[in-house]
Amino acid sequence: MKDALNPEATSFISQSELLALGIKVRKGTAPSDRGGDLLQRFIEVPNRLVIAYSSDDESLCNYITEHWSALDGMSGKWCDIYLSMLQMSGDEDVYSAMSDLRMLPGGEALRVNALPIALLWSAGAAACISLREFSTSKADLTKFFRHIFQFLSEINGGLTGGDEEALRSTLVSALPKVQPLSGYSFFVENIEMNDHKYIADRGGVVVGAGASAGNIIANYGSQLNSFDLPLLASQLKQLRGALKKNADDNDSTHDVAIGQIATAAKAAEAGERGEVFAALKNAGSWALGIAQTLGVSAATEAIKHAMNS
Amino acid sequence: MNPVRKIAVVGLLEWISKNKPSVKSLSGLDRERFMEHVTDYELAKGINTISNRNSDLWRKWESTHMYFFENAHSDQEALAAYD
Repeated sequence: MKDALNPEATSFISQSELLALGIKVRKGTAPSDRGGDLLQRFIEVPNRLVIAYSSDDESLCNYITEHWSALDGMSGKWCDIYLSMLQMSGDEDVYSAMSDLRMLPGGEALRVNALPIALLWSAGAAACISLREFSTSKADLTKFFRHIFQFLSEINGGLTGGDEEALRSTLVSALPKVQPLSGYSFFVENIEMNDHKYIADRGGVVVGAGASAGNIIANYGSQLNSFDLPLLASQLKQLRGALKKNADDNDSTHDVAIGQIATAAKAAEAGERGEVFAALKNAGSWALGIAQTLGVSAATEAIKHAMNS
Repeated sequence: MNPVRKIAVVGLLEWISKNKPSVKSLSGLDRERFMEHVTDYELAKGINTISNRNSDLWRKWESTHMYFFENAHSDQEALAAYD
């Protein structure tokens, strides 16, 4: 089958795909000119960027389509940008890909109400930056991306947790204040590997005048990826049954807890980790107590973890 | 062809780069070996349906390998079918 190998297919976006969307490709920067292998390039380039947006984010969408070549040039050897071609062609938007995006480092924090988002990560750290509070005019988007890529060129390697404060300062000083400025969400997390699973040690900050805790993108757990979802789904179903048997008809919080556990169980069956922990976060102490009594250890730990995140 | 989204492939690249450091290239892998890595990746996410070779998920990843490494289709067709 090697004989049939498409040289462009070794790159993530083919020149033909870009040209079909009316995107100009500078000489020498066509994906096929770079050659190599998907994984090889992924390992060699120290930072990766995914820009998650929907068709509602018209100015950002247009900016990326019109200025792909410039973005690609700006990101240089320090960062590769991974784009959705269907998203760029308008046939699909970010909502369809949320579960896949949440599997990326830092992606578990993605929430629809924080879109558009720039998800930047390296082998050692991840930053999830919501553009929600920023001006997305052409000039301001240019500033945003220029400062991110300038920052990466200056650190001359992969993002690390220690870069958190510097990147924050860079963006705050670069971005224009929009009214009302209620802050934006930003975090950098250190990523370590333990038993083939991500362990993220998150340091979160909110910047901008009037910023509040409500602007922080929820992080549903540094050990989120370590839970066995099929086991969790089974135990959550068991827990739901026990909750229904023990519920007080006069206590509406019990109804809420049963609903959250049912939602979490369904999400666990579907493999939607982020949704599991979003639901468990609101399960409440009554559900946790029943889980402990029942002896469903995975469910107990997951609820504790979600409630404490 | 009905491959997985490209963003899912990014997830696979990320996982392999972290968990299988001896693997440095995908283009040299035949479909069977590629699917072994995919199976390990999906199982690590808790998605057990990948173990079923008749599942949609298995077929999507097989199509993904065809797209990237056995692609004899036009880019226009790929653009229409792939993300």
